Amino acid sequence: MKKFIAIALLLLSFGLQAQEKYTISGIVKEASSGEALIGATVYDETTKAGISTNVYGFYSLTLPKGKHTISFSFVGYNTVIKEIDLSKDLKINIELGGVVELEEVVVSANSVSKKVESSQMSLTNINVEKIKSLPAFMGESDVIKTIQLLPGIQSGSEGSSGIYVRGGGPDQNLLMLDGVPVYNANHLFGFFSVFNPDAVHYVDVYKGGFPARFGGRLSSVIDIRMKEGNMKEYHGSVSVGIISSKINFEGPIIKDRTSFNISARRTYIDLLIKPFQKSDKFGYYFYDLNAKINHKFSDKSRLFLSAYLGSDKGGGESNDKETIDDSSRKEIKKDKSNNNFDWGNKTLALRWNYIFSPKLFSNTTVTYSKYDFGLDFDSSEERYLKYSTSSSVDEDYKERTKFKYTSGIYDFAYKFDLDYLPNPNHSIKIGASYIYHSFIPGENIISVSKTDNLKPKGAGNEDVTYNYGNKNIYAHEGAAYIEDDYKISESLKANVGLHYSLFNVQKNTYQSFEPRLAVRYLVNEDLSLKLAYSKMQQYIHLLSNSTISMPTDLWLPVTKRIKPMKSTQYALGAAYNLGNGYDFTVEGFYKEMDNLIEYKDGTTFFSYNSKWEDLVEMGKGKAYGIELQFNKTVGKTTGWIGYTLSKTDRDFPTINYGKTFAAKYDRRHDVSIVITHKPSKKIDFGMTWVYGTGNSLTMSTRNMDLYLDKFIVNDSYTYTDKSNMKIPIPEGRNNYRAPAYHRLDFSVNFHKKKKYGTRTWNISVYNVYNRSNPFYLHFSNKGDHKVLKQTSLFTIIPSVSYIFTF
Amino acid sequence: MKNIFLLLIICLSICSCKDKEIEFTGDEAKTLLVLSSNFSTDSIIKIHVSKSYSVIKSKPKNDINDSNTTITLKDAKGNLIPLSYSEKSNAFVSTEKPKQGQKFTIEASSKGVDSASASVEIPEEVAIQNVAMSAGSSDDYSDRTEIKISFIDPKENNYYKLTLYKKSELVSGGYLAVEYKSKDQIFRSSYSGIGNIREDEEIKVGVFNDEMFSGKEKSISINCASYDLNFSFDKVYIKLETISKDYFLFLKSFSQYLETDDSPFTEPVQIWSNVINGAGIVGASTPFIVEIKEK
Repeated sequence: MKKFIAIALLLLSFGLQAQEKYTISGIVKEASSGEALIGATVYDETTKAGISTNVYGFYSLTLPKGKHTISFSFVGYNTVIKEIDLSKDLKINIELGGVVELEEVVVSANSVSKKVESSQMSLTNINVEKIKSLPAFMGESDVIKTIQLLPGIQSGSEGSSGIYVRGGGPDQNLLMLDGVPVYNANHLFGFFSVFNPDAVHYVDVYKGGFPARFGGRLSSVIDIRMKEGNMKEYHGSVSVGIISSKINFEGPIIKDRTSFNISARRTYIDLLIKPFQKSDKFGYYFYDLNAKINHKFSDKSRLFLSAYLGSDKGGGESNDKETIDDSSRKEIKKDKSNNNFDWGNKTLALRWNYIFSPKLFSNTTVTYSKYDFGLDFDSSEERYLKYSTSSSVDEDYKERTKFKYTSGIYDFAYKFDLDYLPNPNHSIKIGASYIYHSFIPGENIISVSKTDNLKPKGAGNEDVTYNYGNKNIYAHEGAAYIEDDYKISESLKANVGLHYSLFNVQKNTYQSFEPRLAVRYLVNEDLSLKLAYSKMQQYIHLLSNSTISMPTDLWLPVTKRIKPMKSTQYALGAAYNLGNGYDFTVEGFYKEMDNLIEYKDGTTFFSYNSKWEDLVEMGKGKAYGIELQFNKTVGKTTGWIGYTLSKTDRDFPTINYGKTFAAKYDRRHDVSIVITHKPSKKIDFGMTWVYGTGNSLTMSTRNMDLYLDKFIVNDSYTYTDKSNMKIPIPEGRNNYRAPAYHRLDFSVNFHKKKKYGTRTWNISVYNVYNRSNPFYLHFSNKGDHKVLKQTSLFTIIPSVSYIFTF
Repeated sequence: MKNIFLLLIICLSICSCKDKEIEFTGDEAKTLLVLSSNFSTDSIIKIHVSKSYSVIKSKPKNDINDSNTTITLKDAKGNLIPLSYSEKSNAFVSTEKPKQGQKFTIEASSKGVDSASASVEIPEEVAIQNVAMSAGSSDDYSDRTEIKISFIDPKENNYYKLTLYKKSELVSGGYLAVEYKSKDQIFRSSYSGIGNIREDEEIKVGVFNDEMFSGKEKSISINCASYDLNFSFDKVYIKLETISKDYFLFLKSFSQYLETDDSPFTEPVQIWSNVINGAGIVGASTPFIVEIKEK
């Protein structure tokens, strides 16, 4: 491995000028908290060379010997300018502070110029403060719901946290929390996501033009990093909402050396309904806990330990007792049942940053990720019968049945990454990773125990345990990558890379070479043209055919028959800086996907068994479209208007008679308007409006009468049935369009400075104009005919929450 | 489990969930001619013609009749086979029975709708070579009788339908299907993945293809409740039909449709049709019937 890295670095260093050069390097941090600033710009005014800090705030800039004026800047912070006389390598750690108190509210970490300058396209950075300032469903700010507002990204059904990126499915998104994949990012069937904004530091969303360091999913990478914790002071917040409460606390353990951040959230639906329940009880809640510790051994060495623990738990119990007491007998019957289900994720990441030299930064990560679902059912029946006459034999009967179902996926992973910055024109990343996957596709244990005093042992008096289900599947996944963000000339920059992946499961091995390319041409300092090409391969599939996210959704690996999913995406776009904080981006994309899976007609996820492969069909998909985004990033009023025009279809050999059909979430038009307005420090407003073409669904529009004389099927129609039968005419999968979806949300925050901090009252209104959006369509009888009805989940929902930050 | 989840979702949304009537845009779909027929070598040709109608409207009075509908039936050589409209059967009928290997083309047109057509080829007969009966194991409810049949599958792709039925004057209509079970994998074929039958499921009509035994002799074991083979009053028959591929796909998908029609979590089944520019099914079958006799 070391040899490989050394040779690679050597090769990549060829061509570097022999002129005497020195390197300045260091970490750019936020002054008040000591947290790393990601994407801060370090720029040499003299040579016009510049670089951005990486995800750990590290930068390295190699410049010719002599005097230089170096500026360190980050949107919203005061720029620091250093005059240096470079005659040796320098280490300069910078703290940017004094958040710009201009009238504008800083809402995006992506400066306008950076969007134009960067070779990366299809990337959006979402500031956590933006997430918190937007209207929230039931008062719960949500990272995923904010991501759904971006062009090219669509939500699934009403309220859902599922995301569909550029025609891809919900399983094609790599959601990472501190670099650890999160397999089920949903609470409460997707109405909320597992990412608590209080614990989140930043969010990067890649829709295309994937750099070579990412792989394993076809459609998007959502890189969420947790807060490191304030190195200087203790801070925190407490929030009470209508469905949950949250607490966040951070601070130094050892000032400027070790810090922590801990966030917790819990819903209390179960506690609120508890007093109203009697013999039959039902409860549900979810919680999550994010914790991170960050320790600085030295300027060169730093360790991070982060953990996430979240779970949804629910269940119910019922108790019935019946007593019959008459002159002849006394009979007592007791029935008891207890059902519990829970699902959740656990992630753990240990990360070590080490700076080998001013030009070479390393990151070593060991992670553990677990998603599991469990269901317990325990029922008992007791019957006790005592006769008043001695001639009859008393009865004592007990039966207990237990059922337990478990499924899940566990990952252990190791990853090593190097950032090598030989000069301002090259930013090279090299790395390798290994993941050990354990898939638990569903194990059932049923135990029955019976005692009956009237029967001899063995004839009903017995304990039996059945254990059945699919065997666990173990798989190895390896990957290696190399990429270079290469500034070819002042106007031309390219990110060139190669991602290699290997997957071994049940004696089958798949591998893939995935070239990546992103090119930027700077027309002038305000306008750049970009293109990107990326090839991706995915080795795991999500088995689910529900419109909502179910905890039973199963992740399964590729098999000999079910091949890895593949995609090739081309994107072409432009970024234009309009000045005064306005910018405009336009991107067109074309994506081809292969080996996608779809359920065959008439199959359901409840029917999966050891032959789950029989339930699905492999096919192709295609998506293309254009995305426009107009942003305003500074000023009292900020936000964006996004529009996507796209088409997504599927092609499967045996589905829909082999004809092309629209994907379930094919959405021709998708509009989002996101506005925040902050007239003063005491009050701010948020508004979002979304519009989307209705989802496609399969629905027959015409019936026909078939004369079933001798047309016998395996149903209640007997051989003698000669009557005609009304059946729907097959009109193709996803042939019908539900009505369009649109909704307006509004929020207002009232802030007030208090002695120990700031209190905020948040009032949010979801679906302000009470639009009934389609969740489910069905026919209903009305007189002598039928009518089409639409079930809507959420009409207007006001909510209020209280936040105290200190 | 499903119910628990649904209950939870309902609880969550009970305060705001609502139903409302919306416009049905499917009414814009044009009316189609519907053809339904099974060309069987043991009966005269009978073709039902009707028109499709909107799913939200009640069934209109069928205006298909001899005066406003033209239907032509041609054999492979293009010879016209005379058809006449029978009000009693509500169908166009011929006096002929189709023969094995014959090919037919139907073309139908009616006022106000597009013309529709379908083609069909009558499959070759496959004879049951042997039928053997023996006492089977008992289940929770009754004694079972094992019936083993064998036949030789021709080399080309073949499709079959296997039924067991009683002929009895005590039954209205004269025939009654006898349900059977079978562990044979042919009923669980992965072909198209639809309409497969579980091992513990009672079968009224077993539909299968020859992908597992093409060109070979095949034995199938089935078992039924012994009381169903009460020979005192009824005659019991086993019927092996070779059927056309289109009819096979129709039966599989129609069976699957009936099983899953009311499941909200299931992808709706597309019922197979071989009618071009119209709807329905024109199938073909050649039966071979054996009477089962008590030993």
